[in-house]
Amino acid sequence: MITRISRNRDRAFSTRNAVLFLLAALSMAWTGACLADDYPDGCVSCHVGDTPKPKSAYRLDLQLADLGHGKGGERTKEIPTGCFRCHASTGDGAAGKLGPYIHLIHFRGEKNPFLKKYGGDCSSCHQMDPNTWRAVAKSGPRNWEMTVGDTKIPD
Amino acid sequence: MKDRFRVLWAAALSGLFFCAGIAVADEFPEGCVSCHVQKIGDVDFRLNTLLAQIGHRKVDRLKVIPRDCGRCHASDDGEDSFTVMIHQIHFDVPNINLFVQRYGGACTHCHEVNTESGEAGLKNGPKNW
Ligand code: HEC
Ligand code: HEC
Ligand code: HEC
Ligand code: HEC
Ligand code: HEC
Ligand code: HEC
Repeated sequence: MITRISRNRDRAFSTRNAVLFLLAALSMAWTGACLADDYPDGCVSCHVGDTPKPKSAYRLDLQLADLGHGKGGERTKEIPTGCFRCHASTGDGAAGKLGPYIHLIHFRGEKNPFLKKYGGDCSSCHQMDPNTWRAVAKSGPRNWEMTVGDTKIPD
Repeated sequence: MKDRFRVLWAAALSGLFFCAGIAVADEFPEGCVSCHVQKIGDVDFRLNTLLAQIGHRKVDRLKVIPRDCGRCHASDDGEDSFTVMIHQIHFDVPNINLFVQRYGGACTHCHEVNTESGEAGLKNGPKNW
């Protein structure tokens, strides 16, 4: 009798443990999903589409052309690092600093697709540099080919 | 057992919320002082208490946190700047850092973007001591 009770208890215990384990695994998977970097190169890891529809991020050369931006953006090799040659971080470049322009684009308006579809995460564009403990904008090579007239210019 | 069960549920749920990031209501609207509160369990987690324990001079006269920390701590002062200090405290050794593990390590716990100017800055709040 006593042994049976304790065996039952054991079984109850192990099912509970299994549930606990599952939950623990689930919550770890969640944390993992959050911590894994979906956009290791920042802008160019997310701006990958060829068309503006459905409302999502499409290639930056196209997106900038839509805004009526000059060709300087398209000619840039490292995004956004190369953009700083005009948009200096100090604010005293030829064009305004990039941070405020980019923040407004991605954070203004409740229906902003960056907030709605992409979670509005600073870490999609920034990372903490563990040597200097300063946050920097992630960067990566452009994901389009340059064209002059109708001719593609290889890198 | 039941307690552990609840704790794990809470962990899973909060995991969900952290993933949603900015889309959910802001848990820490005033930054530092919304999180460094008088009671986390049995611990007094307020900044005046924590700082006293690491031998920091008194911070009783400050009014707005972290703005007034800037009376002595410059934001751009090389390796010892406030930026470097506060970032390192909250992000170093991520696998055991409580800010990363328990609070999801979100920039937006401390920072916010001003949707008029586009500048990113710090949240502030009156001292809670
Ligand atoms: C995680 C995804 C993501 C990342 C990373 C990202 N963006 Fe975007 N971006 C978007 C979305 C979503 C939109 C809105 C598209 C729309 O409204 O149709 C957008 C829009 C834009 C626009 C067009 C604004 C307009 O009014 O048409 C520009 C320019 C832009 N982003 C530049 C950047 C730059 C530069 C970076 C890197 C510093 C960057 N983006 C990083 C998702 C992203
Ligand atoms: C050759 C110089 C130059 C380069 C390079 C350049 N820009 Fe610009 N950009 C400008 C100028 C000029 C403006 C107009 C506003 C101003 O003067 O600040 C502008 C404006 C913008 C705006 C605001 C547009 C609006 O209407 O709100 C965005 C966003 C932008 N640039 C993104 C970029 C990105 C991303 C890159 C790199 C891929 C880039 N720019 C590279 C010169 C440049
Ligand atoms: C879509 C990309 C993107 C997102 C999302 C983003 N940033 Fe930025 N941020 C930038 C870029 C690009 C710069 C310019 C970097 C430079 O000039 O060195 C910048 C600059 C900054 C700066 C420097 C000061 C300034 O405002 O120019 C701070 C602080 C900052 N970001 C904090 C944040 C925080 C906090 C978040 C989340 C709430 C965030 N950023 C989200 C792209 C982004
Ligand atoms: C969402 C919660 C949260 C926010 C917001 C927050 N902190 Fe912290 N802070 C923590 C945690 C958790 C730790 C302990 C980190 C660890 O594991 O060492 C910590 C540690 C510290 C310490 C070190 C204390 C010690 O005993 O060594 C200081 C100082 C500190 N924080 C200051 C600040 C300041 C200043 C701000 C605002 C700019 C801030 N914190 C915002 C959670 C937070
Ligand atoms: C009256 C001036 C003053 C004010 C105000 C002040 N501090 Fe400090 N703090 C100092 C000095 C001086 C040091 C020692 C610097 C050193 O060791 O080089 C220090 C060191 C620190 C350290 C590092 C401690 C260590 O040993 O690593 C932290 C963290 C810190 N301060 C946080 C804060 C925070 C958070 C505030 C605002 C609530 C604040 N301080 C306000 C003067 C001040
Ligand atoms: C625990 C609070 C806390 C967290 C979390 C945090 N920061 Fe900071 N950050 C600060 C403080 C405090 C400063 C110093 C600002 C000052 O002195 O003006 C700072 C400064 C900065 C600066 C420099 C601003 C400038 O103009 O020099 C940038 C960029 C930045 N943070 C980005 C980030 C990003 C991106 C994240 C997330 C990966 C992040 N921070 C997470 C507290 C925090």
